[in-house]
Amino acid sequence: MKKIGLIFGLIWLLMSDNMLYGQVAELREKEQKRILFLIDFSGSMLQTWAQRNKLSVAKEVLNEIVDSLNGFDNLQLGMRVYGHQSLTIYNDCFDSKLEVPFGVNHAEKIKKKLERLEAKGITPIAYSLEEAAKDFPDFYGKNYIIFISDGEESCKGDPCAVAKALVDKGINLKLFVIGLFLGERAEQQLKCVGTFYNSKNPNDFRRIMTSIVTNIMFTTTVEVDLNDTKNKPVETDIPMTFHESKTNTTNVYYYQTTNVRGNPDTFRLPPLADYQLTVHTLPPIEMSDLQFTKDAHNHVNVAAAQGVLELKLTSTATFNNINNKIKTLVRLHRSPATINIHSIAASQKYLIGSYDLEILTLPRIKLENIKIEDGKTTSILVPTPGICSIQKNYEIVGALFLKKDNGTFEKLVDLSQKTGKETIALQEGTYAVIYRSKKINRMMKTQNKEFKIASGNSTFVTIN
Amino acid sequence: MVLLLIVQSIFAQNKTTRILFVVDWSGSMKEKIDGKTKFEIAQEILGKATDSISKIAGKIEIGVRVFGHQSPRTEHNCKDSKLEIPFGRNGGKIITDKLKSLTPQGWTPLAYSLEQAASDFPTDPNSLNAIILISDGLESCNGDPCSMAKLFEEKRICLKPYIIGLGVNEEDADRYTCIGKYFDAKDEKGLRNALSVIITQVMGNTTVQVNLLDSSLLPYETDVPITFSDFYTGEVLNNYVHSMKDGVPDTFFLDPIGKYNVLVHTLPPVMKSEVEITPGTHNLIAVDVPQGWLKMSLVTNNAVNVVVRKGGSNEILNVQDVNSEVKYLIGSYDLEILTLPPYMERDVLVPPAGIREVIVPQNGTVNFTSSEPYNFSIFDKVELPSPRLIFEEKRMFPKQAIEMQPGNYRVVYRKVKNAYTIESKTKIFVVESGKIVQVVLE
Repeated sequence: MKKIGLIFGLIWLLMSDNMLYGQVAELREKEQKRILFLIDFSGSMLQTWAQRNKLSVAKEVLNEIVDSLNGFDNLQLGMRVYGHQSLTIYNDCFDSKLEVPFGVNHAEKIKKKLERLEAKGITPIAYSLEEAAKDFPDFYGKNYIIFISDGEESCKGDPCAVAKALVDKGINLKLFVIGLFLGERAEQQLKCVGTFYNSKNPNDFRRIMTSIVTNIMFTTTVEVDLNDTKNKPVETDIPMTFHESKTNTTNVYYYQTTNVRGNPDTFRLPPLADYQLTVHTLPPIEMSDLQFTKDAHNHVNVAAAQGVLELKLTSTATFNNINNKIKTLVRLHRSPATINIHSIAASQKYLIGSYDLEILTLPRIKLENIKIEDGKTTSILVPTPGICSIQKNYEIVGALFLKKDNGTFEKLVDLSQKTGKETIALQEGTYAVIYRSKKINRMMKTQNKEFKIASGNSTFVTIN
Repeated sequence: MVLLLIVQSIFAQNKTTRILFVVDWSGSMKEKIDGKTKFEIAQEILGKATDSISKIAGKIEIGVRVFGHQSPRTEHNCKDSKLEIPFGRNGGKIITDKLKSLTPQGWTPLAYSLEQAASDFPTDPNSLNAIILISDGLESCNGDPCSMAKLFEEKRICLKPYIIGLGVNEEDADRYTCIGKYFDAKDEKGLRNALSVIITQVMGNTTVQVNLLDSSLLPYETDVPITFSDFYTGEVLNNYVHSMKDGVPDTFFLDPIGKYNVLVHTLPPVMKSEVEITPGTHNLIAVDVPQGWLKMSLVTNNAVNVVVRKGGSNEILNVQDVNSEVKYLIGSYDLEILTLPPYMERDVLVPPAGIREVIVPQNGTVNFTSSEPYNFSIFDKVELPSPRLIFEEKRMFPKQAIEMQPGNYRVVYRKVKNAYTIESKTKIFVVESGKIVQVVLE
């Protein structure tokens, strides 16, 4: 019971703003369900909220919600209201009444009742909760109270104690509490009653209501199996995005996880058409036109075998401030697009396959066709650069060159013309600075200074 | 005989010039031109030319190889070729007297003679070697003088050989051109003129000027390193940093032997291949390298790499830091800016002689706070059906002070101890340049 509560409590996060109510009607379930709306009609409901009053917002949203719940043969709706019969001055702590008893297709009845009732009294929450539990003829099937309130108990009752007593009795009843912009004290008091939400604004309230009823009504479950090469669903802790194209329900995120039994976790999704699933591996896996069977357990099998790519320096003791900034561009083998920028000394998972790496040392190191294998770590050792300090005692025009084994020169970088020190991290090898004094404009005065760089060491070059 | 005045330039290099005359003494040299035999003309003019040369200051050595003079035609001697006068400061009389003592009689082993001539030159890296071949006929020994000449170029043995055809018909003359630079001498005067021109070239200063042309085809680009390497072997011979002197590209010396590849180290580099240097003249090498500046600007000091590729290419051309200006050939470039998140700027046009500035927005800072370790991921492109994962940390207390580009992001997170997918949460946050945003994971 507690675990289910937690699941329900969080699922609203997964629903987007523009989930449409109309879709609810398409989804029916055989199991008997009861929802009792318990609604605060105390005088404070007439307070202004986003240029309206809380009562009119509550009525409007409830009307939409009950409409969307019409036509479910296995669903009974009821409504209890408090604070609507006696004015505040009478301090009526028993002003609570089951206005619409449970019944199938009760949307119209609830709407009519809501239209007629007025907010005027005080807030007997604990008493109303006690009574609400008695409104259920029995507790077979699934039973829910959706409790909407804008304030704290005003009759010295203890709502938490009542809620706890219901739980202790083992009654098959689930409580949702939705606050209408509650103050801190009220929030503290009502948090313990059930799964609690506080609406910041009318839209927020509408979304919370929608997601609660959606999740009560749907039992379509989805399990995404991220399989390794042996088709075992062992890959876990990977973010996923579900996008539903028809309703443009975007950006539903999950972290896939292996649950306590070691199996991929199951979660609920509205069984709408045409999901696009993105599994955020490196590179991401995209699957479109996913269709889920309603009221069933749906499997999505994704080949997501991964291995680890690890990049590390041959030695790490020196110049960490420079060397730790070395970045590596990772691309799929023979593909132009960078899929990741891999930091030095980092280990990251990639889908199995072949990759091309370009390590942005100076000179750059290009590694092609690096294999990532299922469950294995591919380690790439990057030779630790040496540090080249070029001291210029006069202004120069020139550049730093790599002298290759065949004796040719490859320009790496233009040197700054200014006098002073220039520090450049270089891979082990033979280099040359080719330069002339900026003031002496004869090409024949070009100087060629060769030097060697050893991994992890400093080399000083003086131009004087 | 008048030779041009050779002006010794201030750059004159301390090189020994060695000129080898390779002279045809085959039977056909007995033919007459204007009543004088060809060999008489040759022995007289070569002597005079040698006298002229020896008056020039500097280190000059002359040698003479003769072919076709040792065996009569009937013997068909294809190895009839001999260095008759080794290199030295020989006077004209020595040469004339030597030639007078020889009898023209045999065949014309041109290729063989050139092959032998190659080893007549002493091994001396500090010398300029030239071969002047005087002949009246084509190869008659199945040799291939053209491939020999090519070998000289490849091995940088000597200047491209000079060939003077003495009374050769036009059709045959064409067949000499592959050997080297051909001069046609119809008579005594012609031979004298040809030698004069050749010696002026060999002895003259060979200067080079590299014109780095901008987009208006004016030689105003400069300060670029240039590598001169051997066209055949790739061996690097000279590295120079280009300069302008008095508003024109500076003049410098280059060994006129062989062929060059001229690599101008612009971004990307421009190679001019198979460049020949004409000895004794001022050579212009023009290379189109119109350039502009690409300026990467960022308001802060963050070290950000910008990967620069030629437009549409997958090859990395350069990795430029932000807050730097680098010259590129004009054209279109694709920039991959390695901020968090990284982004592409495509088709960035570097204009002729101008600056194209690309401004990288200043990062903002995100501070995540949480009371326990999380798996968490940051996404950008949150409006797309498939947002992009740009940052991920697992089983960690979220890192503080993550520097990110301004924009809308989403963080998706789940407590490490929570084992259910739906316990993951998501939060949208906005990063603004230069500002700190606090995101509480709860």
